[in-house]
Amino acid sequence: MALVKCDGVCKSYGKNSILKDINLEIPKGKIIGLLGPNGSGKTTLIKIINGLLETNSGTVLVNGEKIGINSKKVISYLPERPYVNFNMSVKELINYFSDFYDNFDSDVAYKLLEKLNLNPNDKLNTMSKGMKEKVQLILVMSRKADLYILDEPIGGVDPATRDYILDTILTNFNDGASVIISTHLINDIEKILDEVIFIKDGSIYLTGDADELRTSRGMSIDEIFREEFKC
Amino acid sequence: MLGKVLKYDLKSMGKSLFPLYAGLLGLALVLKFIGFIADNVSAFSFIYSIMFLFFIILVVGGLFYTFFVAIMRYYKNLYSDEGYLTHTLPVSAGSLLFSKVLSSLIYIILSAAISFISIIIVLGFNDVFNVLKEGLEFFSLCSGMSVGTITLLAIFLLLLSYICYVLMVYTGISLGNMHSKNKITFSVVYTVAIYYVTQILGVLMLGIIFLINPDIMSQLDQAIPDKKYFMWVMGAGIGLNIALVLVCYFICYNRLKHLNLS
Repeated sequence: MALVKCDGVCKSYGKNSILKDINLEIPKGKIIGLLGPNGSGKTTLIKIINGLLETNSGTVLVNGEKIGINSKKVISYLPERPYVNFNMSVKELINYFSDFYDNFDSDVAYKLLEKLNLNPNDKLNTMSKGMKEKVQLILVMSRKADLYILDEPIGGVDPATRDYILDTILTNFNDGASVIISTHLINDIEKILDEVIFIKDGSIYLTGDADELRTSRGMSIDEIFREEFKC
Repeated sequence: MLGKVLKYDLKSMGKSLFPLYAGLLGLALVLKFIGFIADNVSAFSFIYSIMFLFFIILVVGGLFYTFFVAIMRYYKNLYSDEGYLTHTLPVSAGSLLFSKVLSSLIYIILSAAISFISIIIVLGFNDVFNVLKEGLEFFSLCSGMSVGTITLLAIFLLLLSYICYVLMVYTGISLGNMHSKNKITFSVVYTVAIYYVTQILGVLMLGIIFLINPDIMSQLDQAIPDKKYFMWVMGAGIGLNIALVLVCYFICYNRLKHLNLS
């Protein structure tokens, strides 16, 4: 059984169609790149899988169940925007995650914070943008989830922070879990991807195994992206 | 999970409200002290008057601030960026909404209690008690109920009205967030529209009561109106408020169940 199964998913705002008949299966144990230019529908699809948006038609199943409390228990989601209360300290946020998610491991979170020399008593509103993003990533990756969905985790951060983020993802995701990384900065994540999903104008444009695509096309995923989405 | 959601709602609102409570009680004690001095030193009477005015503003403002904090908690936690976390917690929409309503109720009771205690500190227990007693005895005469019953009924009515206003704004925010742009403007427009609809419903209901009981008009100039009419108006008011609470609660719940956080 697929971890996530999207069947005929459509989403529109008024007359503006954002997702058009998305049919997709996310397998277990893979790192998947959800790739597409800005405004292609990546974030909308991610929000639907997380239960933040309703579809106009079609169904989304996670572990064979409709989106709901059970799917939220197994999905660890990092949105593209800051989403925690900045008036809380890191320690308070760890307690918050620990209270609500049975699969949250506080020890992992504290170890990752220690590597950053971060004081858990510091409030997020005293930190830089990059540091806030790192804290949010630590919270998300400290869960033993079935699926990690990371929406633009490396957008708007310096190259050193990008390396830190990718390293944190790779070394902390749960064994047997899948990771969906949405981005348009393909070059930076190409080396870690098992599979890719290209999304264009709200439709699935291309899917496949990253290595097979590279071999069959004789170019990198980044180059395939640039060719397919040439302006 | 309701208990956990409630814990964080209470904590978050408490961060904004506990400094107010400390300020209110502190000012009441200072005012009491200055009151003692003003009894003997006339120069302090002016300072006492100014501070008393400020105290009254703080008491009334504090209750409005409690309302504002409850509304902001609802908006920020459910419909701002923070909603991305709240709505991905393994918690039902019913628990999220019930916790918001319950925490707003708990804090208005606490704010009212702190205000009451600080007024007693400043004015003394007997003076406050006598004013309240006179008011309650009047309503006891009007209704034919005992003072104890009418006290409980008054507390129930005040809390019901408060929750009604809180849910009206919650509903306005929930409906405003159905739009993809200008969400705050639409939230205000919906809230004002809901308020006016409830006012019109209230007037219509009074009109119906007057039609059913034409001789009720003769009661308007009575110092103590007939018990029957008093009960009619009060019963209708309670009924309308309960109906509004139920309708608004359902709309808020429905919007959370069919979330579109954009």
